[in-house]
Amino acid sequence: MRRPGLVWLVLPALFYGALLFALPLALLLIGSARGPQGWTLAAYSRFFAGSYAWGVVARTLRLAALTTLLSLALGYPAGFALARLRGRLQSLAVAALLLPLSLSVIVKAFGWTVLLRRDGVVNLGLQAAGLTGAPVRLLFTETGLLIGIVNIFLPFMMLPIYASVRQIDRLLPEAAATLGGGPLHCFLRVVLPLTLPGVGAGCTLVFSLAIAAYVIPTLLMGDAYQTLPTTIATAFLYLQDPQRGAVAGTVLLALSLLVVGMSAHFAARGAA
Amino acid sequence: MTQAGHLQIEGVARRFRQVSVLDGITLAVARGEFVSLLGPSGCGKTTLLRILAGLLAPDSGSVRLGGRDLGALPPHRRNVGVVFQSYALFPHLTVAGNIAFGLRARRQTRAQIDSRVAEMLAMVQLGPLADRPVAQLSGGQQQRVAIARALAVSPDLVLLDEPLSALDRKLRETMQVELRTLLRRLGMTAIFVTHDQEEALALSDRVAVMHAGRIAQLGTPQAVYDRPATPFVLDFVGQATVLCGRIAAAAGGTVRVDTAYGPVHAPAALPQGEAVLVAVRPERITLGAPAGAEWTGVTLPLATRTYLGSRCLLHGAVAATERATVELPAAAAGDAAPGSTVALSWRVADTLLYPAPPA
Repeated sequence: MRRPGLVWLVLPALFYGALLFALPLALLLIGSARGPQGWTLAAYSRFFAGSYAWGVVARTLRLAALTTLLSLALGYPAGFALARLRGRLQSLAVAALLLPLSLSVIVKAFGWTVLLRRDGVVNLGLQAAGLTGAPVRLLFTETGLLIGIVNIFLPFMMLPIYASVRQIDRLLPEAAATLGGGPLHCFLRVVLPLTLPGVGAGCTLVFSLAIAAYVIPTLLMGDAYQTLPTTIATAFLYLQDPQRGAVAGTVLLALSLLVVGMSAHFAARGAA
Repeated sequence: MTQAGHLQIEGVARRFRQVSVLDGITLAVARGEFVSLLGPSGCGKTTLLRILAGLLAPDSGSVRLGGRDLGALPPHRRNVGVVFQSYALFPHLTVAGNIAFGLRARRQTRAQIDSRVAEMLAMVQLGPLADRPVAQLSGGQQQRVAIARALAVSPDLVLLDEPLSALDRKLRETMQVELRTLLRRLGMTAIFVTHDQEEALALSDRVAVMHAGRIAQLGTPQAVYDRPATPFVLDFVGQATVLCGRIAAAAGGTVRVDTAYGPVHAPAALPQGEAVLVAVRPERITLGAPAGAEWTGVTLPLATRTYLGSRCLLHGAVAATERATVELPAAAAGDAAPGSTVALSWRVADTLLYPAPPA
């Protein structure tokens, strides 16, 4: 940023961000802490008064954490394999991974409501494989929600891991082997440390997406399953209580920042 | 050196997509010996190195090291160290961490590892840099870390894949001497892959010149330079004067070859009438007519004269398929000037003779 000309290049984006994002965000924060008599945290104590809000926060964190862990468990080996594919096969696989991202989340979530029905493809498959005699209830269960949400967010885990594996010099595992390191030693001491930045980025992305997910829980779980995002929507749309919405929004923001900040901290330590 | 070696390579062959890259390599290397695989890119030398390390499986043939058949062993059970061309240092580890890698893989105790790492650091003179990330090191320092890392585990064999090619010339020469001294002190058996003939001649106990997947010649640096087995070796190792001719007479173990620049005598037994290449190393040639029966020579016009300080290079004007290169001490070059015709002579014993390649 030493050249003053560069400032002008950032200015439009800065202006856009300030006017349309930072300003509303500031208004939200202010709104959550303003009462008739001036500054007050009364709305926060009201929000956290019963056990209901704590349940919502816990459910939100649980959903985000489970989604992240499952995506990591599925996404790490897959992202690794993707990076080791050759030539055209790799281009095809990456395209197949990216293509669903062009589809609206609403469409994908609706798709899952159809797939998870008692007479849906998932149940038909389970029965055909002999894993279950009668149809299993999946829609409006946490299992069904996790199946859908992991499917939709998995690319955000795989892509950073794929990118970090691709950056590893292919000679490094060979060098580790010639030094007497078996496959497990090589993975734990060479591949894993070098892919941690990708793991960190993937976890941050999926966690941020999952903690803020609104459409997917709403469609796959219904109104009974309240998370922070659905609480915000309910407050604004049905309860007509913008302050309650602002408080829930601020709590969600704080949680997201906390997690992203922590992962950035660990990533920096891992890189050093 | 033909008895069973420490390293015994027998008929190793490898193809890639129908193309033969290694075509039956057989080579025995004694314990503590330093052997170079010298050849142009694509000659198969790196493929052979990867097969020895276990990073690539041969299609046929066997490799034995210290009496063990390496065939079925994966790389991490071979105890064969490799110094890679690009070093392949672990970027997330420090200098000490890189050197300790193999020791950790062998589950040595912390105390054993620390003392061995300190020993290796001292050996390659990197002690003060032990805790630096390897990315902060210069090329020469990275090179030393790569060598220390490969040697720390006391391998039965160390493979060096053009380890000096990324260094600038001055540093390369220093590192050559350092590397050779170090390996000799440790009594390490080493296979050194290079396309740099000077490097191969300077470092090796023996040189295997590779060409198109085969060993074209195996011998001491002096044997390879003085008595190249094929025109390829003659061409690849050092410079040479090479003239086309035909055998005009053969008697008593010597032949007379008629060239466009006069008759040349050579010690050989080839039938009369055969088309041949006559060759001689540039520094074996002196100016002037042959002085006696042990000498032979040609007369040809000079094209260029290049002054190199201590030495002087003369190039003759000869046919496109031929080369005439003379290397003289600068003081002995006299007034031989481009355009003039000069008499060149050398000992009959120094004449090299090869059947002419099919046109």
